[in-house]
Amino acid sequence: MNVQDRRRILGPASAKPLVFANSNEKQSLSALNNDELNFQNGIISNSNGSSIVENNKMSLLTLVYGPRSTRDVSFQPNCKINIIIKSEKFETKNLKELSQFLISVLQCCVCLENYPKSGIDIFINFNIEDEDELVEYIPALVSGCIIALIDANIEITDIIGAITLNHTAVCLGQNGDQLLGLWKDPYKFNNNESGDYDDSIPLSEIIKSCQEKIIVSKQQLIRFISNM
Amino acid sequence: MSAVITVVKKNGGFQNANMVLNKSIQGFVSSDEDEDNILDNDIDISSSESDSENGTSKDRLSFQIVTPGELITEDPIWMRGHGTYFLNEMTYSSVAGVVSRVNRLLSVIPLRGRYSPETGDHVIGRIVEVGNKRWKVDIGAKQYAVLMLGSVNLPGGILRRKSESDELQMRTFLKEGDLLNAEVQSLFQDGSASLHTRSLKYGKLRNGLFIQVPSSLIVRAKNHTHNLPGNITVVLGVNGYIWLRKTSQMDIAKDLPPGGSTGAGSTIKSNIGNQNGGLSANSTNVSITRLEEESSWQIYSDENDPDLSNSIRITITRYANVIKALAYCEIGITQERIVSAYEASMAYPNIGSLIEREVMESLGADVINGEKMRGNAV
Amino acid sequence: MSLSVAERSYLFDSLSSPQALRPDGRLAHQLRPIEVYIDFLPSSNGSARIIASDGSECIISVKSKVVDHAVEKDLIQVDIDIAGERDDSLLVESISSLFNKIIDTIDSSKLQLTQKYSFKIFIDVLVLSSYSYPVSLISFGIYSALKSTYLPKLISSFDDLEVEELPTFHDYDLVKLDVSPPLVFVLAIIGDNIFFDPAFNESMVANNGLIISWSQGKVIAPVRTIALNDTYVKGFKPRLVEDAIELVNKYAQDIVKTLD
Repeated sequence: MNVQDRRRILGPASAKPLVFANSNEKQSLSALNNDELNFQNGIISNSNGSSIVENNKMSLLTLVYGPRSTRDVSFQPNCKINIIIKSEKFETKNLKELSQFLISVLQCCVCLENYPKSGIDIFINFNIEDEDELVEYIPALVSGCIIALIDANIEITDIIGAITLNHTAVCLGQNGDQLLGLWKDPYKFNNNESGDYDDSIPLSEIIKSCQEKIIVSKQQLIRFISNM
Repeated sequence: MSAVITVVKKNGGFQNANMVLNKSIQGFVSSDEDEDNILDNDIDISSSESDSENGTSKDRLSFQIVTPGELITEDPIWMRGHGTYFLNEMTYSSVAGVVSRVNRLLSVIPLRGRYSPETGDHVIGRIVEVGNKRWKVDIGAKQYAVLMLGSVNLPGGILRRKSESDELQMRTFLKEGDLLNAEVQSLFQDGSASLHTRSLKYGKLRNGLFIQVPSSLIVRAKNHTHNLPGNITVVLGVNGYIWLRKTSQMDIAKDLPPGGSTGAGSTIKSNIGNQNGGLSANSTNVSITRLEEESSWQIYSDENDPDLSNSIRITITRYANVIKALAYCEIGITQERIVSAYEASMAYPNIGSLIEREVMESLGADVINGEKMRGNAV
Repeated sequence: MSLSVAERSYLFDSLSSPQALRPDGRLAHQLRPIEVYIDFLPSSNGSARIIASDGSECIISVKSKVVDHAVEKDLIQVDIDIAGERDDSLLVESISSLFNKIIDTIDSSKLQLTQKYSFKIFIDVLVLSSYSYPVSLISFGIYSALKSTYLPKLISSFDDLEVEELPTFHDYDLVKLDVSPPLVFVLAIIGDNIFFDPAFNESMVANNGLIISWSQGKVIAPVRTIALNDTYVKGFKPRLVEDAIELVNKYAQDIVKTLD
């Protein structure tokens, strides 16, 4: 009757089953505006810096490790940035091209010379609901990296603002005076979800309208960072 | 033809490559009269003396290009030097090159290949690694050369002992990527070189542009630093690394004739290669204090002179293209040839046109013809 | 290989000054001479070997296969291999991704054989040696290779939907492939100056780089920026993009003419 199973470790006599609170994450996501990005930082304690950027279309987790010693035997006067993006929806080689682009952009603002002989590794995990062009995610990716870098206390000279307009991603520094990155892909016409593409607009026009919008779009990011 | 790009287009790569090769070999043979003279001067210096003793073998051995495995001589009297091997009492070549004979020593000098350092060579190198009391230097040889901390002049005078603090701040003297000119002090057993910069004519390179040519085109000479017209100095490293810079005070001082008007020149000349050489002296004063000034931190400075004018830069670029043209035509590079090619290049006001093949070939032809006219003046 | 501080500052000062001077004296829009050997692989439909004056070299082979175009959507596929680089390295993968996007802009209707079948083109690129960012060289090579590509001549009927038959080809007659592949240009931005086809030492001091694709008289996507080194990289004036595109539009036609 009172035989205890000795092979199992039982909990205390007063143990109760775990009850999980009803997750209302779904609701909060759908409550978000389509364009509005939601930021969070410092979630993953094992990394040096981390951030989550999400809206109703996607969720983006950025982890920064470093600056940490590299395996390179030879002397490196500057820090090396390495970015690995993981996503199930895109081909690896397209993601690698994007990470090379992001490295180029971040090199413009990270104080590389302050961290000789070291490297910064950035891992980005990104979950999306529906497949869109990669270029649409560049603003979120850049913001995610910037927040995670600030969270990791890595010195940067500027907060990069990124906007995607007309299927062209434009990364701007110094409040729009400096162009740090530009990415335009051939537009696939079979993907008709975002039908706002206009081939006739010249690149310079796109860059100009991005310059006008940059301050507004950066404000939310800056507000978040100042409350971090 | 557009000014934007030139394209040489051919059908069928490999077959054509053969034809091109054949053509260039024929070209080489047909222009043998002038080439012979160059070889005579540059490589086979000893042949004229030894020809008299071994007149019969002359045709077989002089200016002969041999390929690996080719029988050079059946005569066992020859001592076997570099680039040869001995099998069944017969000497074969182990490289593709020109046969050279010095007394009884028979060797083959390769036409191409990496630079092999010899003691006393003036070379230009690039630091690749800062190690324990030494730098590793890339001089284009089989192995990296070594520059010991004890073989450089340190700031604050030459005769200072190297202290531990010097060891800790080696990267402030020379760091990875830095270019320097140096002399091969000695060779190690494995053929790698040990360098030194213990003279004020050696050291870190500034105010100029680096170019590289095959090392076989640079002829070993007494002097490898030349002041060229247009206020430019060229350092022709024996390893084929070349530095073009604005002529400095030191370069002018060095170029003074021995026994100059003030007598300072002779002091300078006699001091070349000497550790205490007052090379930095200009024509009017030679003093030991000047030496101290020169060997202060400034000798390891990374800053270029602020007064590098655009015209100096243009001249440097023109010289660089001219040297590349000589290298393209496989002409041995000497001061005289650089100057004569530079003068010939003045026919092309756009320096950018000097990178085109036809222009480079015509420059090379101009230089060779000029030498022929002057009765092979080199 | 890295350059010394003095060398870099000499190069940067020369290149960024208002009277820009390139280390080899080229004009800002002048490209280095290249040598192209076409049709050198007997077993390929088309091939090119391209050698730049700095010794960079790249070989390209074009092969074809008959496929059902209802099943295979991508009718042109580029595979890139760079000597000394791992296949999964950032450089190789991103260049190959870039070229697959560029090649997608080619009108593949020219490859259609019958109502059911099409040619699928495989472009294999092997970069034997490269001293600066090789995309320009690769694109010139692909251009020459595709322009010299001959495909077997179809002798069966075009309409094969009703009568089930496989396409058959003429025994030895070949048809020239009629496509106009895009060209890709690399431009270096140094100070406020723009330079075509940066050499190794120019790339080392470039503030930024632009990759611009061009086809049939106008600049097309993809267009993007790229860092050419890791010491001098910084932002640049946005209006330079406009200037760069203008330069490409102005000179690309000349380059195509010389390549043909």
